[in-house]
Amino acid sequence: MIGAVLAVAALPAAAPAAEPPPRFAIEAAAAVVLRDDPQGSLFVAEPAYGARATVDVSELLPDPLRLDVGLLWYASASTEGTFGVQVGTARHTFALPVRLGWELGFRPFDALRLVPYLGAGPAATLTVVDYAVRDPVGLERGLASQERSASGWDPGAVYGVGLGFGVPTGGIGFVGRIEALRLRRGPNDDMTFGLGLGASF
Amino acid sequence: MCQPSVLRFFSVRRKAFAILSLAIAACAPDAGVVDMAVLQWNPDTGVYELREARLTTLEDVAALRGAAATPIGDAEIVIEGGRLANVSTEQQFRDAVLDNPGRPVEAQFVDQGGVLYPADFHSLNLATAYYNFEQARTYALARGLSPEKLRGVPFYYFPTVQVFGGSSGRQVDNAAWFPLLRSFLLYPFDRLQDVPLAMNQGVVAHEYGHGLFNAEVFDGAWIPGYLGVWCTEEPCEDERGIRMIGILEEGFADAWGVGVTGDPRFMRHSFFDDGDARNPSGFFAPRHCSSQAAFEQKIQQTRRLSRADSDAKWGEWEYQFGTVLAGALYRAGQDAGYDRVMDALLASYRASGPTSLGAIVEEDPTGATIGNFATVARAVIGAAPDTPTQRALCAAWIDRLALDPADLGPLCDGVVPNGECGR
Repeated sequence: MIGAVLAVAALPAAAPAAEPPPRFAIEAAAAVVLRDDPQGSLFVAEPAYGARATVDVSELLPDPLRLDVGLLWYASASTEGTFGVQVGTARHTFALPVRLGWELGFRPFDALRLVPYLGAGPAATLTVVDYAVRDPVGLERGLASQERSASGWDPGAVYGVGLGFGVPTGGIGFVGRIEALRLRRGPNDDMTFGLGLGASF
Repeated sequence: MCQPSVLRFFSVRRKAFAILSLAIAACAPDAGVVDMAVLQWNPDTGVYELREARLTTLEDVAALRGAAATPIGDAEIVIEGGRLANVSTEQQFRDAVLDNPGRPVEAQFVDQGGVLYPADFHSLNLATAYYNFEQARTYALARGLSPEKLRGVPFYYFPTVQVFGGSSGRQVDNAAWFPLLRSFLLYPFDRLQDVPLAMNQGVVAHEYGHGLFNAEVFDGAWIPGYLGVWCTEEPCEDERGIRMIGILEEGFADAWGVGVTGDPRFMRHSFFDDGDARNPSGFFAPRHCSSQAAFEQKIQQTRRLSRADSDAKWGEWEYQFGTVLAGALYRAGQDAGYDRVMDALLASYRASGPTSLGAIVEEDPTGATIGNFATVARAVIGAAPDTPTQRALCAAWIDRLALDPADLGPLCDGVVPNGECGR
């Protein structure tokens, strides 16, 4: 809910808001996720997409601090293997991050407000794995390929830093962010570099 | 003092990566029993399927490390003659070829009902490879392998292997036992699009068979001693020994593949287009019958060739003669029980004393002794655990290799050959 977070203050002395800041925001999100590489290299990169909804609760804190809570969803999918054995993996991460920011006095283009922030919260990742096995010996004999699936939840957490930006208006405003999040996913750690763009209202 | 040596990769495929001659100076859950979904050959359907298995030897589940094997990921191995010019010790060799020694792998799983399902292709490939090593080791332990041998043996998973000279370039689509690093190599796939080699239990057992041969016959030597004794001059006076070792390696390794899986056509799941060229079952005379004379005729054919050209020819012939041996063992197993035959095979490597293959190789000054099928047959027959197995082996070897029963000693007296090859 970056529009709300960005609403009023500036450093060193936040200017008084001309009108009440937007309270809600929704964003579309895209990210590059660096996951632990099963093969042993440092990481494997995977694109992800998602969405976020936030509620601004900055009124709980003095200016220029900004606070919001939200629901974050990231999804990614990949398929690897040979024709004979393919494994598709889809991951859906759901998180409830709380973001604490500080609205800067510096405002590019006058209306654009910037809020560097820290964020953290609980998370859970649903992993769905689809297996397809096509043994050529079976195919030769007319046997169907084997299709199986497995799924499971991994509890975890997200934490990281980011920079929110937005142009609040009286009606629907523009919000966005870039952020780096560490996602703890069961025994694994993913690094996420994300971009969010959306609207505040 | 520098002696020529042979750097060998005992690979599952012949063309890509058979023999490379080089001059070398001679001078999570954490452990326990784990239920895991892996690819397995189903003997009821005859095809590979994802099935649940119980792994009993893992010490680190995410790293898939345990008594059966130790995977190493992200390694880079460069084999280039110039680097090896001053190598005289095993450590120097490792330092020379391992541009990147690699790291532990990190398999990821989904826990569903207490069963760990690999969460991506590489985790499935790695988990299945470990399971396959565990199965191969369990089978060998049941045949009498000492638990300390090949314990936690490394396997390099999808390493970057660059070979300069011989079959140059980056190596893919293969699996190999690499004695110089005392480890297995499971290469990335490229053109092979069937069951991946690491998931083919027979292929892994075949490579494990090479490891067993090295551990027992050569006592685990990184460079077997015979390489510094036989054929050290150009041209080689008597190639029979080194060629026979190659034949035994490949034929016996295929026999281990069959023993562990129970599937004599295990190659087809990964090399479907290669057909039945290495199928030891289903008697086919051109594939399963040969003789000492045929072997020596091939030796003569390559006598005038350079060592490299000769090695290239034998890179294919070793598999052909090896299939004759594997077929003879398979045939004997039909009469005596295949596990009894494999008991004899492992015992013949070293455990049975002066007539073992290990002892014969050690004491053979030229390779001429081991370079005779009758010598090999005597070693295996003499190591058989019981009379029915001995006689089944006699009947099969006499027939398939046209051996004179008189050359095999009293254990084969009165045995009637199987007669499939007309003997």
